[in-house]
Amino acid sequence: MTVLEQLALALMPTLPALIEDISALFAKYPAMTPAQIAAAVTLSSTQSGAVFQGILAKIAADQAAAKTGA
Amino acid sequence: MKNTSKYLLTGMVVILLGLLACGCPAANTTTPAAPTPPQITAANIVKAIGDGANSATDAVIAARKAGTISNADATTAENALAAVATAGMQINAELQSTDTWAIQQQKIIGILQAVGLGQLQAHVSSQTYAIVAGVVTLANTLSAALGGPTL
Repeated sequence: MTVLEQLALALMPTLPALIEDISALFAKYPAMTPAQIAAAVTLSSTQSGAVFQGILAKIAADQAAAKTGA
Repeated sequence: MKNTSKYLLTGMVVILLGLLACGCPAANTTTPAAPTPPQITAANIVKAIGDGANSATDAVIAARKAGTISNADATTAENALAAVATAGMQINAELQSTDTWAIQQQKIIGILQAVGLGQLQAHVSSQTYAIVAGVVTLANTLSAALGGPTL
């Protein structure tokens, strides 16, 4: 067996892993679906919406209190 | 037959060595992280604005009650924070609309500009402005993320 053949045999086991890794490099970035994006936006918006409502309520109460000198 | 086998092996070795030389070792390869969609980034910034405005509202109320800021300043700051809260809800509604992202961007920039945060600093004391400055910064962060102007 020549040196070249020995080298090829030694490298043979790494070939499948190399092909897989190279395929991953060229793969597209995993993208979210429109439904997943909408769900994430809705979750965040629901949370902040409750906070915004609370702000308006607190301000209304404070301004009412300020008028009465509280 | 022997020559063909030799050529195949030689070719394979050359390819493998070439790939290794290109810096593609198996152990260093990672799957790239997915970029966050802009709608989610915007919604998260709106949430941060809400949290910031909530803290600022508490601080303004506490400062008014403690007498460290005037009633007039407190009212001006509260009116600005109420406008921010209303704008936040409008932005949330727009982000959940069926408009395209390009249209959403333009509408949200318009909503932010209509709040008038740019004029706030001129109408309150520096002490009062310091309480709400973080909210202005966050609103500017959102505007910048959408490609809009400084508020």
